[in-house]
Amino acid sequence: MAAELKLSHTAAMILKAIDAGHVYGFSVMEVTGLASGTVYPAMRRLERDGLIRSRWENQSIADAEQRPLRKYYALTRPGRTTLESSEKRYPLLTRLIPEVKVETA
Amino acid sequence: MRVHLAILRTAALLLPEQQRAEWFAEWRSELWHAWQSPSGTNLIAYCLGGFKDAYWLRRFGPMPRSYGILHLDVPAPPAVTQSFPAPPGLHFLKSPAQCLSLLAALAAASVAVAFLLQPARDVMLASSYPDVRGLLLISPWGKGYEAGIANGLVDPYPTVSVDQFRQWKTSPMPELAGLAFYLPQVMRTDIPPGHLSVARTSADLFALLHIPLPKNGLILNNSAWRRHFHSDPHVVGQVVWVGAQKVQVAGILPAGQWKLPGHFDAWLIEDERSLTRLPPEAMGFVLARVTDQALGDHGFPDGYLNYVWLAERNRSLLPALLPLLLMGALLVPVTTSFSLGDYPSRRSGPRRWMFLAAKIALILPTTLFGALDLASIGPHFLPFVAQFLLFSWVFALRWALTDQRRRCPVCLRLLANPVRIGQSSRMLLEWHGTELMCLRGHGLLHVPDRPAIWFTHQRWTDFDPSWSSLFP
Repeated sequence: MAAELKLSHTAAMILKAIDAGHVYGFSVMEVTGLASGTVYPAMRRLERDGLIRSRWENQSIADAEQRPLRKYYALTRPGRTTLESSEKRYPLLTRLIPEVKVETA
Repeated sequence: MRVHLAILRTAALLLPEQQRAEWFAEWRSELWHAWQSPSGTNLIAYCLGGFKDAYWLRRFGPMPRSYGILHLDVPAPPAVTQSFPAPPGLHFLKSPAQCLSLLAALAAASVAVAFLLQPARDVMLASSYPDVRGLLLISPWGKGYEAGIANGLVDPYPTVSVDQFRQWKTSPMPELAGLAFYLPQVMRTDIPPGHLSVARTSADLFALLHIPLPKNGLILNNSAWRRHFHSDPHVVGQVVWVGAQKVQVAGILPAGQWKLPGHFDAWLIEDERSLTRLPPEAMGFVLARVTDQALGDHGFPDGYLNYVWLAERNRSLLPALLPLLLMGALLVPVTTSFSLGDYPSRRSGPRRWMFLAAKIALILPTTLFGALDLASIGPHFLPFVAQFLLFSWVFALRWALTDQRRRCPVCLRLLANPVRIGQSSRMLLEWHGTELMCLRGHGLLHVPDRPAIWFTHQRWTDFDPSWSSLFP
């Protein structure tokens, strides 16, 4: 079960960042202060373990905002359960990652 | 931005082709955000992180499937075709032309190196001295063993002292028509680089060799003339310092004319008086010419001198190596079967045999001249020349036969897709072995694991035209 996974502090931080609304890689990188070489492989691992899932946004939104297409990440149900258990394990996690308004479309 | 994209494109090469486009699209998008970010992210460091990400994906599996529709130019998965995969290993030798080209290149390289190395070239080209029949190198009995055995490519040691030469000169042997001495020395000179490898010779050395050169002065080696004087033809007649004396450059020895032991930049021809001033214990070489009468009557007397005929010295290695080639050919059946199998195909014709003959014809110079090349590198390799030639020749012949057995008799390409058939525990009930296929659809080769009375050698089965639809 994914809910039984015990995440490292880094993985828990990334999971929390995604839950807090930092829904694409560079945003997660900025808020956690982790290097790109850490964040992206960790997100692949979380996605492989079924804790998050990714989706490409609609082309029209990217065209309207005149920027490249983004790949957004969101927590899955097992991911949310794992995050809850990780927050108990790492109590400072909530204070480390500020909430933002979700900007996905 | 171009540099950053180039880094990402390079990192993307770590991924399988099917994942590359989506991975690159995500990183390009992220790079755009990093570029726009007011936080001043180090973009190079950011892009280098792509290598770690790509490596992780390569190692731990495919990219997770994303939701949504991404309009990318993702290459389609390879279509299922009717062609078979290429044979493993030695892909560059799979076609007969490639195989022969590689062998020809190896043979050409081996021969070219042999021509570049002076000792090997001396062996290949016949002695250029006229009337070489009566010339011999002599040394006192008991001292010239090395001179006797190292008569091939490696120069023997100087074994005759100046004092010994003087004794021979004052009491000449009746069988000898002439004696010449030369002493190898490194001498200081005003010719750059400041020192030369010089042979201090008696006046009649070149006369004994029948080389028309002056009997005094300094004779330059052709390569030294090119190297130190840039092939200046006016150098003859110039006066240079050699050791403590001024000498005139008297001539230039043409390339390839020096076949005696030692490699020299120059020959300093000394008169009788200068020779007597040489240290009596200094060791050099003595060249002698036997009288025609001694040659005709009973040859040169043995027993109180060691001697090496110059004609034998200059052609000794090749005759010694050639029997090894025959011996190697006889050893091949010990290592592999001579049989090439049963091929009932009439389509192959003589091409198979011509291909085998061409391979062997190209292997022969490669191994023979390779051995000469090895011998020319230095005296330390001389004891291994025979072993090298024998083993490389046996190995090459064995490879030629093995390679021939793994080729289609029609197109001569390497067979592929080996399939194990049967089980060795049921050998009494059915045959077991390996089947290989011609990727052009010419047929199937059956190779038994163990020869049995009903299946001793590999067999070839031609495919009839009904198989052609399976092959492109």
